Amino acid sequence: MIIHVDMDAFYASIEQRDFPELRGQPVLVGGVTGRSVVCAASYEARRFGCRSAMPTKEALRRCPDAIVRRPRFAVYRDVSRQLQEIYHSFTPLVEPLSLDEAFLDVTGSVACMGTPEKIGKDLKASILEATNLVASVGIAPVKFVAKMASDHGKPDGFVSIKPEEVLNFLSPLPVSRLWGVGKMTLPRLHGMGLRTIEDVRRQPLSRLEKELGNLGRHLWELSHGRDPRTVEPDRDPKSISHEETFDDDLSDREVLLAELHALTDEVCLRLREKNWLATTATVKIRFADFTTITRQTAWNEPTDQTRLLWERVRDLWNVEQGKLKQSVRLLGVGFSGLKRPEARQISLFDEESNTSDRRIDQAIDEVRKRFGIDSLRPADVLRRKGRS
Amino acid sequence: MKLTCNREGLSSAFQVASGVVPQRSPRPILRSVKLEIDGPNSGTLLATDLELGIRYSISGIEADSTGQLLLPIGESMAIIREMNDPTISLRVAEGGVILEGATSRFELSTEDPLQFPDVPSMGDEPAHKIKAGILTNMIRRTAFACASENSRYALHSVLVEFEESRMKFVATDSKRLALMPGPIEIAGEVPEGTWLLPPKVLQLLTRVLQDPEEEVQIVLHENDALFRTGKVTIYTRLVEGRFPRYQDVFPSEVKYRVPLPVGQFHAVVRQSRILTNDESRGVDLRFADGEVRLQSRAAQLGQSEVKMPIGYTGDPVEVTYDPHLLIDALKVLDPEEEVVLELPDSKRASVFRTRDDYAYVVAPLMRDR
Repeated sequence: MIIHVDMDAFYASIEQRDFPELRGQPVLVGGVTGRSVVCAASYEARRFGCRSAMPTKEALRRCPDAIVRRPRFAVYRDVSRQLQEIYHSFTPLVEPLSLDEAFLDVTGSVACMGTPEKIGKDLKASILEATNLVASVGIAPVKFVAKMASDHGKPDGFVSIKPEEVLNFLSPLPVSRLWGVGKMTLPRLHGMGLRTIEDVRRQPLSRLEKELGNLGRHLWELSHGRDPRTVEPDRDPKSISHEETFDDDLSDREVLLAELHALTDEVCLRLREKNWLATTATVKIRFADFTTITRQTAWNEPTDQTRLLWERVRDLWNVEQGKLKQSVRLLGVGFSGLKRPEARQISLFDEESNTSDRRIDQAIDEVRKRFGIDSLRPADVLRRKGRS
Repeated sequence: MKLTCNREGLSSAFQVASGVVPQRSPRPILRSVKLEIDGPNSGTLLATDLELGIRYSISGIEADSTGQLLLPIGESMAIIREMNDPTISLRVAEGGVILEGATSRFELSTEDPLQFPDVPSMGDEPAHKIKAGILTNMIRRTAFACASENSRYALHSVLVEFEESRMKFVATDSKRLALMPGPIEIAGEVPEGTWLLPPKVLQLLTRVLQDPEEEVQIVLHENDALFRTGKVTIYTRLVEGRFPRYQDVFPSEVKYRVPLPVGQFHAVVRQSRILTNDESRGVDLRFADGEVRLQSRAAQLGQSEVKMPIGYTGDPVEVTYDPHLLIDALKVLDPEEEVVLELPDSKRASVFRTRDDYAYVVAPLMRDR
């Protein structure tokens, strides 16, 4: 059985916990200047329609009396570490999704700690006791149902779905709640006359596959309460890397450079997804005769910016590419020396370009989150053979 | 050619010259130093790695003719160190050189001294004149701020610039910038332009300049520079590339001015650095109500708070710095003096200034990830 834990209005609740004068008040955590957005809204503020990711200006228009607090990420991170410790006292299989959300696989804990419901209640109580914060808990046989269950009871929720109850629980819920249904898919499902999860389940698989391809099969599986994803404990990685073996060995320098750029681009995206900064870049080259070389470079200031990381990778490549005597079978790019600094060193000179690079990366990541990595690629990646 | 030479004198010349000899070189001849004899009692020891070169005048010589010989650095230094004789005799031999003491004799094979690259000397050019003590202080207060590597700007260097009767040194690694001026006697017009000195020549100068009252002559060309004292001439190629417009990093408006006693401030910054690490590098400083409060916290380590009374009664202001950047500068200042910290706000670079016009700009850390 899987437990999904989701802290209620996490940042805002911590503010209310630490500053008693905020209790019972509508609180927005976020910036106040121009284009700042709300990171979290207390339940008092949500009543006025304030939501996270909403521009602070808009939130204040809806709730003029709301109190805006600057986020204190260092404190939130500390609380999150406390939560991690509590989770791990129940099971080693913990997959954190963010500072305030995690999946726990408690299947193996039942023998010594009691039913999943008891574990869920103990977990909720431990969190309240240790942090004075309220968590919503969802329990179900699979991940996505557990997540829906925790959401279902919010705030201060406790919803447990037994295996035999899964279909009944899912049936009346709107299709928009299914994992993978976004702004693009929803109108298509509605167009097919599918509004509830039960509607999806009652469709022949063939129709869904015909209309939506692989996504159709995926949604059909979910509608039956089937989710093959397991809880993946998040161990700190030593490096984040990716490599590709080509269908045919490559010797064209421009094509190889394009392949390298595509790999770098992908690894940078993952680096940022996992919230790491790197201080070392590695390039791996395997030649037609299977000899393999790796080249590495390190620097002081940790970064996750694609432009800076690509400069490092390209420097490594430029040294090697002049010496290429045979065609290349495989290229790999990796970043290591991973760090999560709590603060970023401002630069005296390229602050402007630094900030704009960060914004570009953020914008590109947003687009890709919604439309996939191939929705936006560096132009030279088009030189890759027989693709794009 | 044959000569005798005071062993102590030769040894100290070797000590200095060895700093120039490259560890490895595609041209093995550079792993030697050259001894040039141009008079019965005057000789010069030369070393170079082609970027940097030194000419060191040796006293205590008696030579029977002019000439030159090569001495491989490693073996020669060991021989000179291990011999006990007050004087050593050196002699050119077929394919090499012979070093002799009263009871020992070493025959070294060497390359042809004529193949050794020239180390330029200063000649009669008009030179700027500065006191060694002033020059070494300028080096000490700036050179540490150089970048170790940087791809975009030529930051592995110290910038030289003139202004009226002063020479200025500027160094930065883009996190901080150090600027130190010093009085200089300028030859002719005030030179216009900028020159980029490699840090290596500055290290060599600090080793060579012992007497603060000694005069140092400086000549700057478009691609190289020369420094001369009584005994030593140093030649260096300049760093090529672009140095950023350093003037722009100084805060244009200053809202807060905080006077700080160097020694005590250094002590509290060192204390607050203890509970920082790679991931939690910052120390939060808050200046308010006649007090500076420094806070640091690092996961798995713990947290600290250190306070110190100061003569500041202005509006409260908070800023986060990497303590290492502060300590680098505080340790090259006189603990008895006072620095004034000028802050525009907590997001932009601020500057520490001393009475003798030293300026140290530091960029803050931002907790906005």
